Amino acid sequence: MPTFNDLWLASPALLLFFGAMAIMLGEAIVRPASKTGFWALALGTLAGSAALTVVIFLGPSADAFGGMLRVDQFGLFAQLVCTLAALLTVLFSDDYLRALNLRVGEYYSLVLFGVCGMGLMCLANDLMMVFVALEVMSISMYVLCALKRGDPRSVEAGFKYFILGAFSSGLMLYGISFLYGATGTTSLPGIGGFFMGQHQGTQATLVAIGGALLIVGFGFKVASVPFHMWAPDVYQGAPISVTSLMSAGVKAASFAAFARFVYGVIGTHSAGFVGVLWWMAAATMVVGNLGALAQRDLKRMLAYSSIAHAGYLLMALVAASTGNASNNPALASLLFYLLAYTFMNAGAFIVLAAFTRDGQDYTDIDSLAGLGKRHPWLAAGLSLCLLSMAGIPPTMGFVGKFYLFSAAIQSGQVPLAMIGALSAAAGVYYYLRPMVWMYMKEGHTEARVAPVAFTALAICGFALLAFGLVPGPMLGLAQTSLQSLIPYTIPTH
Amino acid sequence: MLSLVTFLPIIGAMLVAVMPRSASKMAALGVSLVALVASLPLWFGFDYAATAAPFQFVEDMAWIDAFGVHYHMGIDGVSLLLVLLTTALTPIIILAGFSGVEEGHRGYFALMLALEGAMIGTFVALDTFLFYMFWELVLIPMYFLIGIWGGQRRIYAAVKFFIYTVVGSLLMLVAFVALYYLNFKATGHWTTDLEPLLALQIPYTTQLWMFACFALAFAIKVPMFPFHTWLPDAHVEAPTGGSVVLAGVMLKMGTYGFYRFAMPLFPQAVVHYGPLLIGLAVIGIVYGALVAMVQDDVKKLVAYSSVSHLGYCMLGLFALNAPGVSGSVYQMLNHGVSTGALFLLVGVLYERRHTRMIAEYGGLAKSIPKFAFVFMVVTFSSIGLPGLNGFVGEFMVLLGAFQYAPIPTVVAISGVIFGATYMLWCFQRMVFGPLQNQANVTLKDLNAREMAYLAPLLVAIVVMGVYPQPFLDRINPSVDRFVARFADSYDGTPYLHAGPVPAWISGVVGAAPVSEPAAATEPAAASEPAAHPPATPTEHVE
Repeated sequence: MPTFNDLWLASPALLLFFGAMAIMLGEAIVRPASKTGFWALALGTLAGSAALTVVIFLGPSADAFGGMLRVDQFGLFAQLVCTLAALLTVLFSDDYLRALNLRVGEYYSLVLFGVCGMGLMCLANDLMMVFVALEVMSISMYVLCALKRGDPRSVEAGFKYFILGAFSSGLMLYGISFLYGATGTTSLPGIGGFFMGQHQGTQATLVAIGGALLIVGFGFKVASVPFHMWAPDVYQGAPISVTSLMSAGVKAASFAAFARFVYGVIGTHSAGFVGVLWWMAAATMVVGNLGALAQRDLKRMLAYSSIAHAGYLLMALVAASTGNASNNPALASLLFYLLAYTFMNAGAFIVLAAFTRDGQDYTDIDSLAGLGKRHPWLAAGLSLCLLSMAGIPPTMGFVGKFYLFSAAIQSGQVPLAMIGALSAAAGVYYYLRPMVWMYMKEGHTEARVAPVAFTALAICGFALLAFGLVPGPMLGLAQTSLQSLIPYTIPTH
Repeated sequence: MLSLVTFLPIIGAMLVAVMPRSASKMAALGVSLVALVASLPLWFGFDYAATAAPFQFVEDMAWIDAFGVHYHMGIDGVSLLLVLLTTALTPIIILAGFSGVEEGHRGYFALMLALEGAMIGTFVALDTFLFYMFWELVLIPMYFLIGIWGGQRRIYAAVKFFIYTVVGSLLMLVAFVALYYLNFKATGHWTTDLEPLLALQIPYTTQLWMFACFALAFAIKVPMFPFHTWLPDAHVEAPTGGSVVLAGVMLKMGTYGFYRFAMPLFPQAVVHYGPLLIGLAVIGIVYGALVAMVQDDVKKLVAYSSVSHLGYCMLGLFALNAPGVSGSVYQMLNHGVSTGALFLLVGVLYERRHTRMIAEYGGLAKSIPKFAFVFMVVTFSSIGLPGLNGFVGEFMVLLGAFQYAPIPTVVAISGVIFGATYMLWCFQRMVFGPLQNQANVTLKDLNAREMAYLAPLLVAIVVMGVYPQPFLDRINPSVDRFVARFADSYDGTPYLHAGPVPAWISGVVGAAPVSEPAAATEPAAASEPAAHPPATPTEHVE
């Protein structure tokens, strides 16, 4: 039986779950003409969930549900990032969906279910829990991607994401079964303890296969090379608000679970796995940045940019599993960067959503032409987000990159940091290109942004600048959060 | 004090950006003048006695504790003069921008002021993190200035400018971070502050790759041959004001980066790479001059002349002796004044005729005599006529460089001749000769506003040429400290000297493995000039 404390520790996710149920029932029973009530309810639920997360964050770390969840500051920080991504997304969703002529209540319900799954994934301490949370999150996303039923691209996105996602989930489950077969447990600490010892023969083979399959599963969810093929199509086809949630929230949750697995279980013991991650990180940074160079569709460009950012974050995972575990800032840099990415990503998508009208998205780069003159604030907001993604000071993206690169170098990953720096330099080109269109070309595309959405953009812009100029407190928070994370394998050196 | 000078223009930029359009011109001019006035106490308050503190007007407080980043600002004589160059040029540029900027004045002036603040920031920052922040911040306004108000191929030029710089600076960032970590390993403290980092003993091989990363970033900015190709594009496409800032101040960020960071941090690597960089500097001097000679676009000519002139700055810096380095710093100022003035003059012509082709002009002395006079003085300054500023810097650089690398210096001197050739030839084609083109006959001469912004530059050209002492007084103590950093790794032997392998490396680290790479590299440098008589090092000239 779950105790009261278990329920309390899981309350942010539970609140989201109840909110989602309420919206779903409301949509089925009341069928209101205006969906603004659902929008407000979703917003309230997310805000409440965020508040609960903060309160729990201030308390001590604890296990819940018999070790299924590990409620520590690391997970809670990531959970907060996911909730924040959803909040920013929902803030501009109402107007966006209206412009898209797509006012359906289940949208909010699915978003809340998705965030509920994300939150649990950040805290999951057992591979079964990881899997369940991942499915809750993913299934909501599959449906959300295909929300524009009349648009073949959207349906294609949902279908493609579903097929490939189901396939990768299957691989992951297969990997879990291998690990279970070898170790007799699905709990991360249990498997971690197994990794610590020296094993030979069949057991070692089973662990190797299981670990590899899990990496494939996670690699798919975070869209890292070579499991990234779905991302550009899905990001492009899905409604803009869904892409925004998917690229920040799903990424944060998957990386949190991935980090627990890499840092906690693989740790410094399996050079082979770390080698695999090294190549994945290098390839992801290079492919993401080079792939984005050729894109003219902004959503597709941001999809490749998202792949590139996954590469930087993978670099942090490599650093986390190679460095000295006691004072390794790699995972703190991961948390900080996820937060930064959430702000800059949401900001960019808010501006893209401003072009949507008459049920149609206009995400070609030409729609930006002349934006600097007609809507200087929108243009400034997008520029700030893009500069932050490019890692130009004084934005939060720069501090985040600095932190990531310094963590990598501290772990002795200088070549990887070099690859990252060079590919980021290539990336600067495509982040600059929208600015060329906005400020240096003439154009007449209409853009319209509602006050609420504009507020969300302003929040993003403010956060990017504030945490870029005064990053100290947030860095401190990320570092404190990291201390709650215990490697299940205690380093031998 | 330094914060005030740095952030005054940036705050001013924000104000100008939201101000009514009609007021923006005067407001921007006002802000830049206030910044100039605010920077004057730095000149008068700077204590240049040899015993004075190396860095003055210091501001130091903790900024990001998690990284050990300090908000640390301070100036030595070199940064003092570069800051003053920046604050003095900006009002001139803004006054020049009153005409010629067709639309969007507000944005133009706001960006110009933001640029000023960011550039001052790079010159006063004594924390690597803070420096990097300003260094990158400079790019953004310049990118927009070229991209929005530039010429036909402005977008290409703006993007090229940005990418070139960013590639270098990201590698520099990696080296910064590595240095930061190295310091932590050695001392147990996280700090990005320059002063503790200077005290760090860095292994020889590590120095080599770190210096390479820094040098690449700064060499692109300078720009040194072969990384100079962004410069002609950026210069030609930029609006007049942008070209002046670019040539006048921004290129000095590269040489300053060498002076403040790359060279003092890695003295052994400097000695190791010295021959290479001197070689590139000399190639830049001659190549820039030769290419400038064949340009038919006067702006491009001035752009290539910048490549050549900055080559002297680099040559002087790597001479590693007092006259060379002082001359190099002085040459930075000269180049800012003279080339800035040249770009302004080209801008004046372009506004009237909308062409920059030299062939379109001719006989300007008859139609616009005032212009012709100013152009003449600036041309003489640029070619280093004795009595004007250019001569002092060039002479000191060549004097210093001759002690270190006699043969390359002789080659570099040919650049002086080529320099005179292309400038005078250009001057002759534009100003003298028959007044054939009807459009030139009716040209209006300089108006009061143009006289107002050109006059201070003319005064500077003459004063700095006739009475360089106040400037050199402020530069010299800092330069002596800079040169002293290499005392252990470099014994003053000319590098093209066919003597036995000097033990320059053993001084600092003294560890056995360190001397091996040194021995391995020396013959490469020493083998080639065996045919030449070894030059005796001349006395150091103060």
